[in-house]
Amino acid sequence: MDDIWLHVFAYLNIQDLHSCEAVSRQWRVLAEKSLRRIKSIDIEKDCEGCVEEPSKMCKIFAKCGNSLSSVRIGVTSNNKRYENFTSGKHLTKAVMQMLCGRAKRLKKLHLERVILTFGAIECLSELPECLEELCIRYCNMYCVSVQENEVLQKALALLLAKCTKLDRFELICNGYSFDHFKLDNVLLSHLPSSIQYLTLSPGNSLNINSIDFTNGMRLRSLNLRDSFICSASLTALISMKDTLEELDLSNSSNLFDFTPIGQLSNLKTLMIGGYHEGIEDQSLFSIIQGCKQLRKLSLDKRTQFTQKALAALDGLPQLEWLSLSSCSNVDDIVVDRLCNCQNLEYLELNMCRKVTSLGLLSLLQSLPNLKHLEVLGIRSYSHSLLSQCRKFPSSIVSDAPMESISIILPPIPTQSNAGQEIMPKSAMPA
Amino acid sequence: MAADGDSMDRIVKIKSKDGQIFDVTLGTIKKSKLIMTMLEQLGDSTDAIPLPNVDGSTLKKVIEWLEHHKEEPEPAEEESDPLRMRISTDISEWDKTFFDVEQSVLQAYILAANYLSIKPLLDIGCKTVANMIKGKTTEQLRDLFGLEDDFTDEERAAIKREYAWADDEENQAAA
Repeated sequence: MDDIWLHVFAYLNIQDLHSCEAVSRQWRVLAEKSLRRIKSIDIEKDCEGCVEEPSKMCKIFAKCGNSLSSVRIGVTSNNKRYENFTSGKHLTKAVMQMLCGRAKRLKKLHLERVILTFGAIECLSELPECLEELCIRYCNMYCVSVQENEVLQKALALLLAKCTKLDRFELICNGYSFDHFKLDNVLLSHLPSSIQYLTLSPGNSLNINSIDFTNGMRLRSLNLRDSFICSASLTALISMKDTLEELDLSNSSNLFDFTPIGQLSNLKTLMIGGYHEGIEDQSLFSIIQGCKQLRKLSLDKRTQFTQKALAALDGLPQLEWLSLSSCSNVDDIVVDRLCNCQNLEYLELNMCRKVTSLGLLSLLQSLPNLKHLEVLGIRSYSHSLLSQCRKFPSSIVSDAPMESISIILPPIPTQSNAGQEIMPKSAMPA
Repeated sequence: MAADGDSMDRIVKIKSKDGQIFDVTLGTIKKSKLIMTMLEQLGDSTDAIPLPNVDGSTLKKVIEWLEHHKEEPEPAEEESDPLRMRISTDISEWDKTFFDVEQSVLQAYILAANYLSIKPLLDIGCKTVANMIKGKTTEQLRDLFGLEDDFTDEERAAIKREYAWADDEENQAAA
């Protein structure tokens, strides 16, 4: 009979198990057993309201303890606009201590949009050696002085050095969210060679100018958004060309020459958007020539690329996702050539003001797989264009005024009705 | 074991605790691991298989359930992660109606499923009970399942200390 109750309890969440615990002696034993069997906890989902209360989280970790292999402590934003900013909820030392003390088999820890106290970060060094994933996304840190930075650096170095199975390490935040904390080459030299997915974008806390720390790694994915690494250090990536599939160097203001990327022949995703001056067409040509596997590419805000270079993008036939927003030299000729990328599903052309209705029309008529199109700021776009197409993307983001619709739109294509919520501001006519 | 079309039509006799004999096809009863094992051991014998732990009325309902679900494939090996289990508590309308019975009857179904080792039936039965527990307070749970508060004063105090916050919440909800 006990086995059957355990089976029943396996379907209950933590809060219900807590109610069961106080029912009777038998139930208490069973509920505690069930709690100890839980392997994965998302504090936000599995125990509503707990993120605000350290004592609750402590008790959960105390009860679940040793079997836990995956923990997420985070707060999801109700408003998409704030999803990259931290919430007001704190993660304290007591909670981290309890987690590190009990969850000796922890493999994944995700901390999202919470404020990390100094003590909590210091405790990271006590995480078990078997850790495989550590992701700290859009959190704030308390680290008010250079001395505190030293303590935290030491703690993190300790963690990185002992977790020899670490596979994914992510540190993302905005601007000064990490306070005086500095992520530098010395600290990063402790990264174990087991790492495959690496994201280092801690705003102004990222203090590196080279990527020598990747020596000996076999990365699949590297994200160094907003970093200050210089062009010369990109050559260090070439040793990883067999494994590297994803590279994000957006907004890296010290990069003037992307030509070494052309040697990364296995790249599937490449993000190199940014406003900074000084990049020449040669960079783009070498990428188009060398990275034939590319499926996703962002050149946002690269105003320097000329029409000639952009038109060569049709040399990437596998492209499914492309963003050319604010690439001011995109015009009808470029767009015409893009029609050769028959796999395109997602295309951003925001602020490409040289594109005219002719270009848009040929685009809409010749890309059969296009599901999402953004044309904000293109004045010649109007919904009437759609009347001349047999099929069009299920979501189009534009700022075309509602009044321009004087036609009855053909029915939404049947193969996909996803993404309809992102229809143009002016909705379909009733 | 071989599961070709012919053998699935084979009639198997099973006998309940109170002596009722039911004729079922192998295709219907194959979800019961117990019966499949017994059939293997019995070989070609055509005697009714005795099931001393299940009474006739329960067995009749279990067969009805098996009949309804016989076309469904065996579920893949269940994920051992309870998190997945905690999410997948959806039950089909047919099953909901099937399990919309008195608690003692529901218990009989679950025990029978457990004894006959019919995992999908056991899963749905347990889910049904879990759904009954969800969102209830400790008091309500005692009433629902007829359980006695058998804690000593000391234990009770310990629980209260441990879950002071849980009580707070309940009080707030009640207020």
